[in-house]
Amino acid sequence: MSKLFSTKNLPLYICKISQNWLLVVILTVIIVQVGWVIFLDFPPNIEQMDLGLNSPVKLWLSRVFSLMALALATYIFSKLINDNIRKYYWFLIIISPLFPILWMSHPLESLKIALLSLVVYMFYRKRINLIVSLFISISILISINILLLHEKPSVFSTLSLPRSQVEVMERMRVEDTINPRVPVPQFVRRIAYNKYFISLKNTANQALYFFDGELLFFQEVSATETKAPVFFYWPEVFLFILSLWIFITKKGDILSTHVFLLIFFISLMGFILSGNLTYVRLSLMLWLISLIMTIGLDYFFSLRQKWGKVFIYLIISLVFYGVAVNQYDRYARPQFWLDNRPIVYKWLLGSAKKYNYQNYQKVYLTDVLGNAKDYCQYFLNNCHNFVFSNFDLSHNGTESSSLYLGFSGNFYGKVEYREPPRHIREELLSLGLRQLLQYQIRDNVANGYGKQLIVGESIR
Amino acid sequence: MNKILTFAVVTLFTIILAIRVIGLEESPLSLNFDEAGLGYNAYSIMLTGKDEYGTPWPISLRSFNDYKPALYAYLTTPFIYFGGLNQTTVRLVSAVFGTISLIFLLLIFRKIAGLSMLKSVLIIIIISFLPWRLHFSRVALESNLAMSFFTAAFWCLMNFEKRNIYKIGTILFSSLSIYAYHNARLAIPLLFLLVFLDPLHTGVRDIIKSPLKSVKKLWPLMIVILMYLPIFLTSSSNAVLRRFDQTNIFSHYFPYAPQELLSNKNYWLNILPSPVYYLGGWISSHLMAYLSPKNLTLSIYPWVIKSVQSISGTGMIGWLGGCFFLVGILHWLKFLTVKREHRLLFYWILAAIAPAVVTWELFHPLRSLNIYPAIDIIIGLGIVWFVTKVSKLNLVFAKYALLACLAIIFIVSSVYNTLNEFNYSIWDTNGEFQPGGYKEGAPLLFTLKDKYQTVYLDSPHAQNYAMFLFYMKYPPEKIHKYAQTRPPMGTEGFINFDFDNFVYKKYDWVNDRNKSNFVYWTSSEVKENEINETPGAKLYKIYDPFGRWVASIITKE
Repeated sequence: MSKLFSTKNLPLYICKISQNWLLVVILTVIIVQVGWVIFLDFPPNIEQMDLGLNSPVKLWLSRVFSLMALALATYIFSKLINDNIRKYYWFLIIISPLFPILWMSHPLESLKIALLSLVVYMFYRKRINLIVSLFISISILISINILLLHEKPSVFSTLSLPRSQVEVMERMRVEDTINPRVPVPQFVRRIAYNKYFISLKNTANQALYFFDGELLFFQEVSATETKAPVFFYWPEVFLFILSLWIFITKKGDILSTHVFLLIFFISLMGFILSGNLTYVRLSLMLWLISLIMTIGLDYFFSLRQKWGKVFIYLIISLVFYGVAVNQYDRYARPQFWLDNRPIVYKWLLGSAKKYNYQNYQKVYLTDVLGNAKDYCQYFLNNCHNFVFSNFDLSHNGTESSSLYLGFSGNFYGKVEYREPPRHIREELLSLGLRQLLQYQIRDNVANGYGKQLIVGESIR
Repeated sequence: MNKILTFAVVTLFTIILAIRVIGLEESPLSLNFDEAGLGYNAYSIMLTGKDEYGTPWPISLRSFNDYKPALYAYLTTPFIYFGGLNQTTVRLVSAVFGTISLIFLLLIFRKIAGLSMLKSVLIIIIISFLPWRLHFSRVALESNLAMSFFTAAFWCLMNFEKRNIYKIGTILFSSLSIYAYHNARLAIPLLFLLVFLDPLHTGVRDIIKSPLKSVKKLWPLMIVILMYLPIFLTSSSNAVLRRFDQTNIFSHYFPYAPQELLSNKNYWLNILPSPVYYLGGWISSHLMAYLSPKNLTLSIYPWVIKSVQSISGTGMIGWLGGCFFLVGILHWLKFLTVKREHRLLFYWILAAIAPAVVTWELFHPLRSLNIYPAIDIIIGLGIVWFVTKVSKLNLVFAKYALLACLAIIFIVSSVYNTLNEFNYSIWDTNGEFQPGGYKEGAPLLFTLKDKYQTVYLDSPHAQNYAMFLFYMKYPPEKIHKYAQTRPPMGTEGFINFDFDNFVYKKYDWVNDRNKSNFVYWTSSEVKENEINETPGAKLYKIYDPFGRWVASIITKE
């Protein structure tokens, strides 16, 4: 034992660590990510609740399973590239903030990615037919998205010819109301205004949302404040473009074009055949783009020219800085990055526990977000005196010995663009309630009900 | 080029021009304020040699204190002279130069793609029906004019070393572009720097090693800078800089990093997060936004929708252009460092994006319009690649079926984009930037004005005076008198002014009904029965092309 920890071996340890510095970084980031998830103690989201993960044990088991699924997918995808550059690939995947959010909150998406990676591997190694690969992938996507998750991809409505016919007729009607207008012969209008073309156009438009550069690379500085995690840090966009150029010009013959195209089309079909949040629909792009960037990293690290070295070390430095900043940001502003709906329930039910909810005859919990009963079960286990309803105290009065947990709209009535009243305590008193706690969430998750969460008890 | 091909090309381009000219009086249904401002200033220059403020032969039009470059107005004067002041004559410059730009685009594309003239013409015909090509050629916009000259300048730059005529053309078209719109004032010098120094080929180190040699190469840039001088010697240069102050990315997003995370009051001293890191992100995101397929193909940003740069239901290049753009950009990247023309295209894109990148809007088509011909070329390369791949298929039936499908889709899409621009967009985009009523009601107002003592104007639209002056064809020499009393430079928002017996006043029928001998112009939100019950009052309802009551003229004897 003393020999193992002898200071004589210290240089050897340092040498080994410096040779495998990337592995050390990867492990460190994984530990920090896991630590963040544990520290956050984020409740299950609606998708996880619908899967029946209504207890912490089930939730954490599913998270472990999801992490393993994503690790398996990454391992399988890494088999598509050379052994000596796989560590770059792992690095790019693990540092992405999307990675922990996927295994934390999207178990079925994690499973989907793992299954699709197997299909790609079978295509690559076992040489199964491309059409068969695509067919299996689409089957997996439809099974999980539509049968399990009950999603409604918008592409189904754009492909619908009756809906397209309605749009055609509306266009014709609207144009006929204009006077004066540019006269166009009817047969010319019919060339373009037909349900087949309209359907094709709308479907293509839906597919083009897939190419969302802002979501993929610039979530740190989102001008439109789209709610989504960071996929890649913004300096990586330059690495991606150069890597793409290297890939296209075959300067690094590392990844097969056919495999790349397969993963690309699977990602595209995954996006089109999903009705989930945009970032979830795009999640497979994390693995595809990282594959391309791995090619770039390998190329630049092996370049002899000074400019190549300067470029790559600059990008890596900026990326490391981005990792640090984003990690700090996610600790400091979890509501900015995460779905606020579970946070609503966490706070409301935590407050109920704090004020000994069992002592009340009835506890009213707002159900405007859905799954209120499941969340109650998750946080409190015993909800026998709970009433799950989208109550409105502005119309119905308060009951004695009751506790009310809801949005401000539940107390004052639903109004669009609601601002909280200035003197909440006085307002609640007029309703026969005493305010116990209030809390403001970041996002407007219940339209018309405001962002203010209130806990009030009846005075009588 | 043989005679038949020449005849075919001329015919096709005539058809392209005709599609841009047909129905300009009806579609878009009304001028927007900038068009009205440009048109009226052109009218004033044509009649008096002065702009609406009485400035003789201006380089920039003060207009709404935004100092529009005047070149568009000057080029409009012949059309107004022969056709009168109306929507068609004001927009004709855009239509004509939008078509001319396609000729230069054809020459550039042919050189880059290495195709025959016939094949190149076919590709350009397809491109001429892209949504942005149709839309921006049917509204009076200085940026479209600047884009045309920019394209011509690029063609000359590509052939700069060949003959002196190209050298002259480079200087001439570059200068015209600078005088046509603000964005060229940054884009042209940047383009010259990149093309003449050619950093991707020469290498930055070699440029720095021999600075004198590099500077010598930039002699055309020196000449163009000399051409700039008149702009800076006029008082308008301050106004241009003021505009940049209002719209630049640096002030809008300051302190760049999320405020909740900044702990030090001196933002620059924060280490985690550092505003410098986030500033890099903002600039990079703006740079990439102009090459994002989603932004180019779909119309999604609120500052674009319901503005003059909005194309109804689609983005700039549309879904079909977007698909071929994706293919074309990969093909272009492949030859980027191999072929000189592909490299020049890269410089074109960089230079054309720059003026838009430094402004705060993530995606602003007008400010970046110079990039779109380059994007058209990439689309064309995508089409060529696709057709080439399909032509090499072994299955003959599949080959011809695919090509036939492609041809049908191109034709149908072109017809769709044309119809969209002709009629549907009138309904979809009218309102804020195409306010209804002025075209229909202003001529009536003009006939009534001399019969009454005062004409009260109450309209919610900013700068509506320009609409009244335009549609009334008001004598410019009478407006010049008011130059000194108009809202001064730096005034934001409403800059309407009283002129002649026209007075801006809020509609107040309860009190005004007791007055007499006036005319009121106001919205349709009037109580008809109140007016009809007032002795001596008469209501004229002004309807837009949809049959909606949009404005009211009330007379009181």
